[in-house]
Parts: sequence; structure tokens; C-alpha cells
Amino acid sequence: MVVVCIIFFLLLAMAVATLPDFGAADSPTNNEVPARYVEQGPGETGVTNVVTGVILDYRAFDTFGETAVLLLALVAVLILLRQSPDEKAPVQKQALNNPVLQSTARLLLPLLLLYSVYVILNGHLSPGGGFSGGVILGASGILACLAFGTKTMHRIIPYSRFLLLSVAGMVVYCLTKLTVFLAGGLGKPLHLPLGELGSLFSGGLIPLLNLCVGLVVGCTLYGFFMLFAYRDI
Amino acid sequence: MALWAIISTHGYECAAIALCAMGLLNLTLHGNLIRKCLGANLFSTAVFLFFGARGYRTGGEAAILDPETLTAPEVAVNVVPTSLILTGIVVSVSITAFFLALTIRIYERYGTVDLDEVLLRVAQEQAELEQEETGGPS
Repeated sequence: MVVVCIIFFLLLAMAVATLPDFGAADSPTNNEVPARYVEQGPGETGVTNVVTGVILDYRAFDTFGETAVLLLALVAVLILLRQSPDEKAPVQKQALNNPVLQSTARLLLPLLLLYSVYVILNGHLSPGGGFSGGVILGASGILACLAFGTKTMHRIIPYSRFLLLSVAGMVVYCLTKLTVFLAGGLGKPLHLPLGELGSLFSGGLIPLLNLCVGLVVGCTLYGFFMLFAYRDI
Repeated sequence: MALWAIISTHGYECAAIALCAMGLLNLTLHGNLIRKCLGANLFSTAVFLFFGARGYRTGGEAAILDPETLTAPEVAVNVVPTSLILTGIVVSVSITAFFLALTIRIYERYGTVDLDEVLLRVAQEQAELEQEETGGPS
């Protein structure tokens, strides 16, 4: 096993030795494609973060696909792990009831939620966006669940509302992008107002798409935690 | 030594292929399902590291315009691998979660996470079923 591993490593190392130097400016990957994205991207998409422009405008269909993959994984885990109320597993259901954890969570939760919204809404201006903001959103849900127990969480986010939130994110993304694709396909591309470059409300549809992606990512992470830890949501 | 020369010039790529070797072999050669899952995750992490390392340019900055002057950085890292990896991470998380959920169900059904053991028990159960079918009506 270890020998096979070392042989495999050496074979790959021989391939790596033929690659251009690390960080070389004349490497064949630094061709006209990234140069064009950096030069024309802000003007065409109206966002200052070029990567956000690439994933939510030029490659929006790709991002749609992987948001769908995430939702599909959530559905698959739901089918595999969720238990109906009459066959509850003997998993511990009560809260940890730890006063330190509870008061820390009370202090941190508003800040965490605020920060996640900040990261999602500023995704087109600064590092961040739907994926990282969604992860913070999901983490704040997990913290709340650990501190206050599943009963409180079921009252705040019942199963129906959880499903509604995650599917709504996906459907809004789908419909928004569908309009754009259809308009372009019919030969009448939409020219949405891009707003002032660098301001909060700019970039056309990108803040809305970021919000949808963040919602789906947050719901999925929270759902994964609840399903794996408590077999219920 | 030739290997040492490669490691000193292509450090990140070598770390990536080491992770790749460990991940791929845990995924394919081990019988433990949880170990397979970790192997798959490690393998995808190796791909992300490799892509990220190949996209770097010496002295490069993140491709975000300066908020005041609204100008692009002089040397920007390659944005194509960055965007590809951003989307790849999500798929890796989804696969890990699905794999682990399946492992939990297999453990509940067969009481083990070892793949050979599981296959043995499946064969046993099938043999018992066939015996019941042939022995039942007569």
C-alpha cells in the first residue's frame, strides 16, 4: 500500500517536473482569457470583483448546475437519513444547557447573521459572495442549534419553512437566469442597468443571484448538520 | 538529487500530488467505507491545491479592482482556476455528505463499515433467500 503510494507519487512528480515554474508569468495558462476577464470584466458585468463576475455572469449556467448539485445532495441525504416522527432514534434530543455556550451564542448570533448578510451582499465588491456568506449563515444556524437545542430550532425553522427557503433560492436563481437566457436566445438580449461601478447596488442581477446561492448553501449546511447529528430537521 | 530539485521549485504541486496519491489509494485500495470517503475528499482537495498553485503568478494580487481608484491590480492571479475551484469545492462537499449518509445506512443495515464484510453478508442473505424459495413450496 505505502509502496504503491510512493510509486504513484514518483510517477506524478516526473510529470510535475516538466511543468513551467511556479508563478511564471509566461506560463501557457496566462493567455488571453484571464487577461480579457480582468480588462473587460468590470465594464461588461458592472462588478469590481472579477471572480464574482466570472462565476455569476459569464459562467452563471455552471454556477446554476452546482447549486443544483448541492440541493440534490441535500435531498439525497434527507431521503437517506430523515426519520419519520414515529420511528425516532434514541439520539439525544435535549439541549446541552450550557450557560456559557448559551450566553456566548446570544452575543455572537446577531453578529454572525449580520456578517453573513454583509459578506453575501458585498460579494460583487470584495472577497466573499454567496458561497462564503452562505457557509457563515449555515454555521450560525449550527451554533444556535448546539446552544438552544433542537426543540427551539424546530420552532424557529420548522421543516416546511426550511424546505421553502432552500427551494426558493434555487427557483429564484433559475427563473432569473432563464429570463436572461431566453431573451438572449430570442435575439433580444436584456441590457439591464449595471449601476455605478463599485457601489452596493450595481452589477445588474449579480447581488440577487449571490443572495440565492447564499440561501441554498446556508440551508444545505444547516440541513447536513441537523440530519447527521439528530436524524431530523 | 533530482526529486529534491523538483520539490524545491514546485513545492505546492508536489504537496498536491502527495495528497492526490494518498487520497486515490485510500479511495481505491481500502475496504473501510469511511476511509474511502476521506480518501475521496483528500483527492479533491489535492486537485484544488494543484489548480490554485498553477493559477498563481509571482507578485500577483486577487483580481479585485481597487475600491477608490477602480483600477485593476497590475499583476492579477489567473481568475479561471479561481472560479473553477470555487465551484468545485461545493461538489466535493456534496459528494462527501452523500457518501457519509450512505455509509450510515449501510452500517445500520449490515452492522459494519468494511466493504468486504458487507459484500459477504449480502451474498449470505441472498443464499438464504434462494434456499427459502427453493425449499418453500415443496
